[in-house]
Amino acid sequence: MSVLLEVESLKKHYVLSGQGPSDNPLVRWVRQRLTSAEDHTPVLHAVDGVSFEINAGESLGLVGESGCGKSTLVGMLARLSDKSEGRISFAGRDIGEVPSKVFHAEPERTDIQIVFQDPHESLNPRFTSFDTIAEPLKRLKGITDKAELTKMVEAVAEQVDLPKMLLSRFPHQLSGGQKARVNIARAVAVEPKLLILDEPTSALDVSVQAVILKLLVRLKNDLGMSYLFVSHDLNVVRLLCDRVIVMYLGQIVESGPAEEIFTRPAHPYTKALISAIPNAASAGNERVRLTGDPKSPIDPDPNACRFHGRCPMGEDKCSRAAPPQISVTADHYAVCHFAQPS
Amino acid sequence: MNERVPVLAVDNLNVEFRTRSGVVKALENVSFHVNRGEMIGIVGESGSGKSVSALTAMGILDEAGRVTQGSINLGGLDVLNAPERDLQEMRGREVSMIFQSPRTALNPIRTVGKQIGDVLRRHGSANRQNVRAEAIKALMSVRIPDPERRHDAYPFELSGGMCQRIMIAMALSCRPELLIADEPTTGLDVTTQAAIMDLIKELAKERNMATVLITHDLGMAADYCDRIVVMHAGHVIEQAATAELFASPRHPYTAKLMKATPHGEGSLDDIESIAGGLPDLRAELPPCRFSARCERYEAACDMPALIADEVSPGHLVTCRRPL
Repeated sequence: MSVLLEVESLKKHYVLSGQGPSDNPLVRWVRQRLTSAEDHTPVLHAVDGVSFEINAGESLGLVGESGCGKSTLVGMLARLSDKSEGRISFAGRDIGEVPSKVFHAEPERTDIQIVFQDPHESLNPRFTSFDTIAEPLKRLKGITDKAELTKMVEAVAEQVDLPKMLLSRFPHQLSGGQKARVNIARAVAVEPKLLILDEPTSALDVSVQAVILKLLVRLKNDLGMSYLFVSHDLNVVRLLCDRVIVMYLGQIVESGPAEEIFTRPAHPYTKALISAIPNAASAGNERVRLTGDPKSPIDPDPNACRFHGRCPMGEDKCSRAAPPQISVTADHYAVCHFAQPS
Repeated sequence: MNERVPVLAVDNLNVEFRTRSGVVKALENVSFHVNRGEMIGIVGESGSGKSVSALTAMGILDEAGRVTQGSINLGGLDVLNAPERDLQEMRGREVSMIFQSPRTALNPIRTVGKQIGDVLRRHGSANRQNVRAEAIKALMSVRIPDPERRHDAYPFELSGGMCQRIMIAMALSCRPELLIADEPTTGLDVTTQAAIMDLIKELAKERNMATVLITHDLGMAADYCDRIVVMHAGHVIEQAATAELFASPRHPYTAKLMKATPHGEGSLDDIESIAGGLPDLRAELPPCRFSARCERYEAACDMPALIADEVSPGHLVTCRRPL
């Protein structure tokens, strides 16, 4: 399989200038002369050295709790925000070097599309479904001919099972499931190679969720896309993804084939995530429970496990050394002192 | 453990909303009860009437809403006919409610400790001297670390899970007999969700409190509730003990809902969606509001006077052609 997207030690750091000394060298110099305050500006490590790849035609699941850096990572991959360090290579080209402000002019703009969270909020209320789907075709494919545009929009609508009569409707005239379809149609209209799905079903009722998930699987097979599927609904990730990466506080803590992650999780955080899924079958079972909140992502200690303190198996060494990456099987690894190769 | 004393009994309730585009028949013949120490789950799609049932039981239905039939008995009080003053006494002391999105339910410009103190002073025993100590005790009861310091925090300084703990502390500070939790974990992470639900369950058990959990997540209801009430388009279509409901769902909608929920095993082919949407509740409706989406529909389903059948002890199904 060929690698479509390759991400290498990708980092996104936000400098919190409001709290620390100003960036102005003069202010800094005066401050140093007058006070004994350390010259240190706090830095928020939103994404901190993330490496993974997505193969062509593969769907990769990205899970983790809110605040772990999922959305920041997605923003960088979709080239909506710039990285601090690292490399994003797409189909062999380093697209991380292109500033996000001018990325819309790059050919890769059509190849990477994103379906945003919550279809109710992410559609323009003044655009009909037709306008929404036509917009990327006009802007990215440069199609101006009215008849051709109509033909293309209708073809995409058919692909996502959106009845033609709904094309003239505004978002408030559509149901949740229909809005989700419009959102997906907008993203696949330009035939991307990589589709990023940010919690595509979390705002939908279970009765429609299944149809949308099946639609996504069909589209992927028909159009030969790769998916990056961001979700906190692990049951859905399990259904849709070939491989899963688990993030915690800006770093990947476990990565491997979906089935293996769910049946034999190696990292204690993954174990806790999985045992937190409410489920009729697991009722009454003994579960791994987490206490407390995650540590602050501001200036994390480089020589400690970021999960230490919440981890049910944490030991003294976890606070003294960063955990190593241990291969559990060939394509399954966990970043934990206690992970064991199987 | 479950003494058979209903804390809340809703009987044959009909609720309508008058809107510009017609009368919405939001609830029809809704009956359910909760016993002391029991946790029931009300499950259904959005718009099925879960929250309206709970709000009516609390006597805080929107002014556009009107109860046209039925009765609600809450700890011996006739909610629908009681004077507002009695209802105010009842809320907080006998029944409390926690809402979804805790951050918006809390007052953003008062410290959380003060907000808990308000409830304690209005309904509880606290006075000006001991209100701080009592509020800290309430914070401790929901396992908030460092309660002394958190007492003076504003909601924006706390995480979503922490805010929901504050809401729970507030709701339970006067030791109510009944807690209504309306989607208490929507918007929270799975790990936080599990912690919050464990906390509710634990506190309910400790205090022998009745709990109504309103959720759209069948898995969560299965995990935590003793009994489940399934609603569809303003009707209670099935209710049974959790194990029984999952072992043998009798209403076609319940069965479909279970099939539509991903549950960690099997593949995507095993889950099925439910065709169609909820009917327009403003229109003239057939006796069974699921008939248009139902595969087992036949002419007899349109006969009036559809009533709940007790197919086995405690298992009620409102369907002419149960599975």
